[in-house]
Amino acid sequence: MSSNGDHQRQVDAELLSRVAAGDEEAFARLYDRFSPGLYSMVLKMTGDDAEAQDVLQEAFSHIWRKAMTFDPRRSAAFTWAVMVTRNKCIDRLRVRQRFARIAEKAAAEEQNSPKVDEVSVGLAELNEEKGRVRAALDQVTADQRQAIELAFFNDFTHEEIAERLCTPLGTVKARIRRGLLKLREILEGGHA
Amino acid sequence: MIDEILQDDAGLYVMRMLPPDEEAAFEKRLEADAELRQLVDQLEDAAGHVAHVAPTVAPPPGLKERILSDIRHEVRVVPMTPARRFGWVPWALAAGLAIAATAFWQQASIYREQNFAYREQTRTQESTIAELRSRDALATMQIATLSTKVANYEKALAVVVFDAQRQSGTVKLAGFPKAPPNKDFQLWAIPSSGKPISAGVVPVGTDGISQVSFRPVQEVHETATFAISVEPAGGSAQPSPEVIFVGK
Repeated sequence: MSSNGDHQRQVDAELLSRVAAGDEEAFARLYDRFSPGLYSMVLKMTGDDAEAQDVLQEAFSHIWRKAMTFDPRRSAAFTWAVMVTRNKCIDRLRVRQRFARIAEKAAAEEQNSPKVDEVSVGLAELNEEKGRVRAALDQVTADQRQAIELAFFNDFTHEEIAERLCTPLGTVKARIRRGLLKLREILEGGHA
Repeated sequence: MIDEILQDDAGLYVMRMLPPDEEAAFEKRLEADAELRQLVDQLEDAAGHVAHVAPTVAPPPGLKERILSDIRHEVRVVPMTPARRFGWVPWALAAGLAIAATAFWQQASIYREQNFAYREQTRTQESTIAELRSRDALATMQIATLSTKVANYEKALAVVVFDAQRQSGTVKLAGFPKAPPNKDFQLWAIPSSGKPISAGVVPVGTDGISQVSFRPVQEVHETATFAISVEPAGGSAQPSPEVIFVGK
């Protein structure tokens, strides 16, 4: 990981530690840093602006209440926030049982999504990180990348992914796991 | 060395693609398998980066204020830290003794006729609490042992120690089942006016135990009834009808 990446990771962890102690100012700063990335992810998953806002609200409420459960030895603060937010999003989508309809809408509307104002807080770092991750994903095999993205942004079962990719179930499972480990290896090694 | 099938399951678990029963079994295994835990951490670390694939879209400007307003109205329970140990030692002692007393009391209720010894122990514990109440350190504290009539919580214990002067307290839970999916346990202080005052959400660990400090959202200046209810995740402004523990 780059030294800038290390520094950002440290800043995030410190902010989250202050949030755990009830520091509202740190929470506001964390929101500025994390919300563009998290909102973009949720919007891609739901394809619905109002739904995405509700999910983000739930996720940040969870982050406020459960910040003390974050363990910096296990993951980066942003990764932790991503998994919290994604879980909230999946819970919501499952409860409402309307994922299929929303996913179709998301695909159609993605091209028309308003783009971010580049001068917003934290976006320079976000875009740098996005570029790094996309470059890393380019080094993962196309099959693995496709399986990972289908799994991550959709509430598909592995059977559904296998069906969509016309691939045996066991192969799909292995592609997801091996692709993730490869992605991590590339990002950790700074090869991207 | 983790076998390939389990490794694949770890990938599915991280993506939340395991069926509910398999997910529960996997989590149970995860608790006892450090190597598997490490693999899951690695996979989660990688999965977290995949979020960056989404095209960047800024959240609406008003959302931040909405979220900040939300958290300002929410009282969050913060687990006690070692730095505060001198402050909570007598509280923890009182809560621990009260829990023990409650346990003995419950046992005594069940075996009243058969087991005289339990009653003796209960009396001993209760007199210890009474003694603690009379000491300066605990003079302003209310110790409430909460009781339940809900079958699913019959084996659980809940004790609240509240200091009206400091407007803060400790709730200690033991033997609690996991909160239902998308639900949280929430503590309430109910003064004589009858309007419940939220004292925050109480997280319960997988071991069913919890000990957290709290501060009600409004001041409570009298001996209050305390209650625990099951609420939607994150808590509610008013308690739902699903009140599981009450006590004074």
